[in-house]
Amino acid sequence: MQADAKNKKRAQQPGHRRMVNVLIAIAPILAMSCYYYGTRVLYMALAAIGTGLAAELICVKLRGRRVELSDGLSSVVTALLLTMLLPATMPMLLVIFGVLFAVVVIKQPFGGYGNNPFNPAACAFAFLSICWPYYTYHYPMPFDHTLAAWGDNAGKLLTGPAMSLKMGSLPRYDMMDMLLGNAPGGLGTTNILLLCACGLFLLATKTVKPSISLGFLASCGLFAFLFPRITTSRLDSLAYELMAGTIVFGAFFLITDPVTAPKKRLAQLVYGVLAGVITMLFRHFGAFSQGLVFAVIFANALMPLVERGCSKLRFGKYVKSTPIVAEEGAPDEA
Amino acid sequence: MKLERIRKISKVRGYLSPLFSNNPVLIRGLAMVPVIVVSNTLRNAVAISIVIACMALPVHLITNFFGGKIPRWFRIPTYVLLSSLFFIPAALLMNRVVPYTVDGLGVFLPLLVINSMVIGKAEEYAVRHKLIPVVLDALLHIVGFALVMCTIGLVREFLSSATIWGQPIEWMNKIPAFALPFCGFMIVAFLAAGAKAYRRFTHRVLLAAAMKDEGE
Repeated sequence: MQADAKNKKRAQQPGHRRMVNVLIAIAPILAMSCYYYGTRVLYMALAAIGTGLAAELICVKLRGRRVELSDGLSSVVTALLLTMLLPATMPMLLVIFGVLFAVVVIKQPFGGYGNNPFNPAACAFAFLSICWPYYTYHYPMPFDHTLAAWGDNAGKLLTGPAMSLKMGSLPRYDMMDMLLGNAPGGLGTTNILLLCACGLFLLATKTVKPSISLGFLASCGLFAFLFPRITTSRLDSLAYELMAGTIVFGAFFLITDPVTAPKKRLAQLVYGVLAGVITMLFRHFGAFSQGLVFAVIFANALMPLVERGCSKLRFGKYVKSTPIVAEEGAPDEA
Repeated sequence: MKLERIRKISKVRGYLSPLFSNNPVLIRGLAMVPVIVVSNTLRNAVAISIVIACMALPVHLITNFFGGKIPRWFRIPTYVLLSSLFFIPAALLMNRVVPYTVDGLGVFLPLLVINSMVIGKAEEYAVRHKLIPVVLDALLHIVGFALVMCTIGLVREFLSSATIWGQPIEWMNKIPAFALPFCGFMIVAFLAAGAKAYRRFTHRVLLAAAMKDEGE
């Protein structure tokens, strides 16, 4: 009875609108990556969506709940976000495996849509990158339309600009090329201009909170400006660090996931800034060239702490919780 | 008449509960550390199971004989001393049966001395019951622990390096992350969910039978 009431209440929340907006924002990115890498991207996306929907359906049925629209929509969003992070040469089996991991291990055991403590797409990408770092962090060059749809694509792989930054050298791609996405990288993470446009759309429709994503971008930028890894100039470091890897994509799509982000505005700002600093620390000292997904998981874990800490802070003043006063006339225990 | 049978069934079920429905690892959460961290190969799992088996049975027996006579404040240290005494032959036997695993187990092998399954069970059960139930209980707990441990070891070894007991198996894709501890957590969680579901199912079946009997 109680569960039914809870389900009904959840169905009335405007979560659908938010997810539809995210899907609208992903659509041009998907189209652009099809333009870059050919139809293989489409197959990858379809495989991911199909797996996600099937796994979600089975798991919700196993839990004995009614399948709702929000379950299906959220699994499609998860599948597409994961696909957008992967390189175009990712073997199809691993894409399916990643989506299965996201739905079956990260999302459903905690109670499905709206209850997952960690972002499923980020967790799945982290799992894939721990298991198969070669496939996850090596990318084909854009406009290479010779990629086999199902076969092996080894031998066409390059490391991305984030790896050059990790080695302390200037990426060999032009600033303009990187803005337009003409550099190796994850499917939907390279075209910075398009990502910014989609981000503006999400901000304008109030789908994502500006305090999270802008705070995240600002703290990443400031960190890159203060502690550059390349020797040319601080501004170069700022531009390249923000454009290489997945930072812009993550700022609008991963870190802002309303399920795993704080609800209060100050907490959101602190959360975004914290996630940015953790991302850059992972980039500097981590084993992999990109640290965004690990930072997202880390920040998700810190979220309750941030929210609780910020609810005690009001206008810079620490509000003490009211002390428990013993009732008068209560028997003295000593 | 039928109610009698149900009572009998649930009594037997109570004795057999350490295997599945009251498993020391999956339901009660005892001895989680070796199960999660060092169960990455079947060899390690068997080694840990042997050590636990060789430690738990004599410790529980001795506790059953003399445990009541020891003052209560000194009981737990006694159990630790006893189990560290029996750890020596257990480790020697383990080294004989499953050689070359000591390095892989690292610090978790000596840590078995203060294992909650041996010491906690000794204080909780072995002191207060008669000899036969204590032996039965210890044996079933050992079997339940070894069952879970070896299942997890088998699954993790198969998925992480595509081998079983060191023998390579044809398998298209290795998943190396299963050698890391976090996958141990994951598998324990899923198995625990399965054990809970089994426990609830059997309980419901027995309850339904009893209700039907009452109705008649």
